[in-house]
Amino acid sequence: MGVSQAIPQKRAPGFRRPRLDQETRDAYLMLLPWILGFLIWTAGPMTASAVIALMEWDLLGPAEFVGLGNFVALLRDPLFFKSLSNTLYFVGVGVPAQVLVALLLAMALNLRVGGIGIFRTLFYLPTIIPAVASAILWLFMFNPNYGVVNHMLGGAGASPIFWLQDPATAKLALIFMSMWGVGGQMVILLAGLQGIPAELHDAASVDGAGAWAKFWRITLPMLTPSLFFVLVIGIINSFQVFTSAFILTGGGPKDATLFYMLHLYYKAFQDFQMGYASAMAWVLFLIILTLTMIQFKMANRWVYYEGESKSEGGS
Amino acid sequence: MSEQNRKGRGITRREFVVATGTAMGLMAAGGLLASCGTRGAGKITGPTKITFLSQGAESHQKMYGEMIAAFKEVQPNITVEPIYTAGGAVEIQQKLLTMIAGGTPPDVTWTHTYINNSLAQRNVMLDLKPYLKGDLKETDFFAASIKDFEWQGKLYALPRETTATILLYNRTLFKEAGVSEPEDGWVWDDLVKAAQQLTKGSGQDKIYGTSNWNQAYTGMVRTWLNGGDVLSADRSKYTWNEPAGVAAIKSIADLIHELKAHPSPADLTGTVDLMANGKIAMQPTFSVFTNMRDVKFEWDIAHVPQKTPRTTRVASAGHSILRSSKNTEAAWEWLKFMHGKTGMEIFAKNNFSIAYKPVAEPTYTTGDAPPKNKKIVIEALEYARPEPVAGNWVAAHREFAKALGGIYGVTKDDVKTGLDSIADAVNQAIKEK
Repeated sequence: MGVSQAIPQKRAPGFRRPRLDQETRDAYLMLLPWILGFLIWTAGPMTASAVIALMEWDLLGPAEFVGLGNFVALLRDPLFFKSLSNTLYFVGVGVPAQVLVALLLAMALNLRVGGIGIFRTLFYLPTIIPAVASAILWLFMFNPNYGVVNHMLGGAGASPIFWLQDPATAKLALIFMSMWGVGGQMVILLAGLQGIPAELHDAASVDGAGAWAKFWRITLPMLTPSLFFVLVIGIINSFQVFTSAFILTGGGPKDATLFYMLHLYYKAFQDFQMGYASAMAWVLFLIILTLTMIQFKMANRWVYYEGESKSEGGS
Repeated sequence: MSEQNRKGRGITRREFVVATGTAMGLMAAGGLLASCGTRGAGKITGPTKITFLSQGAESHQKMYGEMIAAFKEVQPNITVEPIYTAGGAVEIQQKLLTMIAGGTPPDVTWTHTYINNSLAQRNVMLDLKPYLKGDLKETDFFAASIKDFEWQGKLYALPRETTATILLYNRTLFKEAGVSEPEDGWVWDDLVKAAQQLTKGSGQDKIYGTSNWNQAYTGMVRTWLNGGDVLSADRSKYTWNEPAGVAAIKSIADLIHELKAHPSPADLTGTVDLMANGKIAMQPTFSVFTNMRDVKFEWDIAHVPQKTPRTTRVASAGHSILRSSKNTEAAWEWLKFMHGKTGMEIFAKNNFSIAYKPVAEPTYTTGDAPPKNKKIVIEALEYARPEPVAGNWVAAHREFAKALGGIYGVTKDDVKTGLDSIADAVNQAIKEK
């Protein structure tokens, strides 16, 4: 019996609300750990953060109510805009690149060749390496004189690139490094690829469709739900990029990799400006929320679900 | 309520909310009770427990474990419960303030010069001067290390170790190049000339005449040698962008960009210790030589190039008692033990450049272990000075790193422009806590 069916149709005398039956109560009981976890660890801190955002507070002293003062201070902080633009760059360039690389890897790993399971494991492995460990690994790899990246480029005749030391390349280096962790997206896309019915490709082949036509007309549309998912999650995660910059560059050179979360961290846990940092957190939350809502709105135009009919070009 | 009634009765929304609220309330109360339970009960009248926040590297845990066991033998009624956390000054400050804000402050904490000022302004530490009248005296410690933890006439920590910036050099490279070793009376120009003579090779085989001047703290030493400073005498205004500071930093930038006798920050990113690997002829560094224990060449130390009066930089780490501690007497006993002869011998055994003179001085004046001129450390600690720590010094250092990174780095920023670019941010940082 479903939960909705369990609700009695008749109200008890007076204004008493309908009682829940045992099954429904059990269902709520099962949900209780999550509900409590959400209230204590998510809703509670979020509410506290919203209040702190209106305060000036250094953790120890008394909090002073400043209204929207912290939000006004954000607008006067050049590093706020610098960190926001750095983050937008990382999201704008990094997420499409990550999705593209994940898609290419998923397609390659979807081939039916011997030992493919080993390759799938190998390409997923970086995802489970601790972020700090892989960041330190990349620090060595990016060394302009001794690093393997420049060594390989040098073999192709390229001049040494100061990956992490040049403001012009530092963000690109961190985006490049983020490709290392596309294993999660790759697995989702691989699952999406494997969910595409083989009959569709077979039918297209019978009709004389080439590889490109099959990819463009069948694979890609059928994969759009998975692509939509990795895009939404990728954008949310990329807005919160932190560890790589914290370990590799500390936000430098010259603030070129001072991402939003890094600036927030410095404000909260080095400068102890908790009100300011909370205001930053809420601004980021609103940015991500808005972008996610826009993506869901736009999804109607390009995301195809099996059995759904859409006219050419969406809408 | 009968079984039948319980089965037939659902939960109303109101009851659900009340039940959830009650559960949360009970959990919160449990948390509060748990936190209360970590507090002590005042004077030492019997078994007393104190909590001790400290650095959490494996080597530190091992060392403090030994220290706690030794302390237990002389103070069996006091139990020291260590709280280890990874990292250095910044991370310990984060942990400490979070613990205080959370209502579970430790009784004793590890601390560092960089955060002493910030913690002192927050009034969270106990003034230790009144305690230093018995077995342990201020004069037992190097004067510079005591200065490091003073703030407005009060002393907020006892120094564990203290380091002076000295010049570490590779004697083998000097001999091979036929260059005279650094000696008393050396000035900056002598260092530059020697660095040029010692620089040779290219690529991965390159030997640099000097290194490590690109750090903020060594940049400060160079600036002091040039008669300037990063802040005004009353520490109220940023002054590194004044002529003496600009000239000092330019002299370092020239070593990197013009003379190529010093690796650039890019050359130093993600590499092994070039000094210990014999790729650097000389460099200013803290007076801690653990990285030089197994090197395959001869090495020694000298004073940094000097003017009269001599100057260099001192920095210290130590331990503080929290004002909020309910066990200050037990906490003091723990502090006194760590900073007395037995405790300091344990630190010394673990290669710390300890600040307690009765144990430290013999290690710098006797024995055949390198460096040969180890007495220089003692001399340097006499004339060394702390950084002009003010306000939020951690934030100020972030700005210093940003400006110096631009000047010494790939973009080769103009020195004056680079030092000017952080003036507002540093002036703001030194006004903050």
